[in-house]
Amino acid sequence: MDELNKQAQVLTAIMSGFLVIGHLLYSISYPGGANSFFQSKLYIFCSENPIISALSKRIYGKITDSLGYLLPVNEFISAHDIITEFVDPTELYSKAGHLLFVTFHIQVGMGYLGISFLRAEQSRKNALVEIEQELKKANQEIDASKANGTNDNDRKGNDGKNKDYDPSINFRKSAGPFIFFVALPYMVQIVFYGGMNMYAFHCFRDDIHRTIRLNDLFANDGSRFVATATSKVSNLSPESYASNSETVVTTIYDMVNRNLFSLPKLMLIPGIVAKQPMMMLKITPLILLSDWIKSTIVAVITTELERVNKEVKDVSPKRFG
Amino acid sequence: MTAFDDAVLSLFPQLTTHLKHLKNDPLSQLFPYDGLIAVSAVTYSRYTVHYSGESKTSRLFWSAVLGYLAYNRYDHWIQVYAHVLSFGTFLYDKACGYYAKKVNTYGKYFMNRIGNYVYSHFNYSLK
Repeated sequence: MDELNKQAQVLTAIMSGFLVIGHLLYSISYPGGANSFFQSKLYIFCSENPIISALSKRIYGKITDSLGYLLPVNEFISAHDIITEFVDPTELYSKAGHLLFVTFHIQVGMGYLGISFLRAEQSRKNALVEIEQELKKANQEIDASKANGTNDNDRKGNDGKNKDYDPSINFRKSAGPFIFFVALPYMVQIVFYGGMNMYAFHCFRDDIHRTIRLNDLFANDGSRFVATATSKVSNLSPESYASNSETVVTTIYDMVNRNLFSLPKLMLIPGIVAKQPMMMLKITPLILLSDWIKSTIVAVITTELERVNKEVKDVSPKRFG
Repeated sequence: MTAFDDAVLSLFPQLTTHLKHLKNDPLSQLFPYDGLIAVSAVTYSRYTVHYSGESKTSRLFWSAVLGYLAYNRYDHWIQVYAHVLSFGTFLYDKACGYYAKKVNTYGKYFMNRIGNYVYSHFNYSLK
């Protein structure tokens, strides 16, 4: 009975948690809905209270600042402002939301797949190390039997065994199953789902390109087309605007995509820290140092490349008149 | 060479990124094949990401449920909520484990306190 009570309590807590999550998800999706949390008396009271409001704004600001160290949040906001200049926000949000939904599921799935592949690969590497140990052990046994001076029959038996004994046989036998049941499915899934994700993104990116270059340009009696053509401030063509918007969208999407792919691997870190705190303490400075060296070298090369590119542009032939 | 190129290219489907090229396709509303892509992504994700000890039947069942929701274009919040709910068994097990541990820890602490109390009284009565 006591056990049943405990389970009932846990079940109540879990159900309550799920109801709260559901209500929050609904409220975020429909902030203006009658049943939304953002329309509740509690929320209105809190938002109208100057102390709570100031405190929550301060916390929000601090969170945004902290996020700024991990992701270029301000650049994201600027990119959003630029794109909404050209694309209808309602249409943009629905398409971007769906793309994010698809990308999240595919990237997290592929991230988990990557972890299981890494584990399988590591166990195979470990098997390779075990072969060497087994070989050493077998050699030691032979040496020991020779030193003990075993009789001729025993020696023959040992020699016969040594001739047939191959410690790598299991490892070699498992190569085929590893390729066909682990490596190949991994490769196929990465190619297929990665390609599908890229296709969804290209649809989104091309849609924005078309909106800027064609649809929006001639909408509202072609006012934007006239404004672009007669602008004295800029001599950029609609194509240039559309191409630059592509760069903005692609850069932002790549950042999100990469981080989502890394998410499952990052989620392993707390477990590793809990299990091997000393190892993490030893490894982290090395990782940071190697990262710093790598980024310094890349920065030097990039700066030099930019300098050379600028020089090429400056000395390229120009036609006047 | 052209025949070879054509043969290779014929293996790949012709995909458009423009919605207007797909007429009367109920699965393409935001961009081409967005419904099919969402179904594939959701089912793949739920089948791949699983908690330890989850049976294949459970993974397939939840993949089918989420695929159904994606196919019928339910709101994203409902789909996300269903995805979270599909890990309910795992969360329940974890919560039970945590609760049992917590109760045991408090129980041990309580019993120790009682034990010390009884022991000290016993010592006092002996004096």
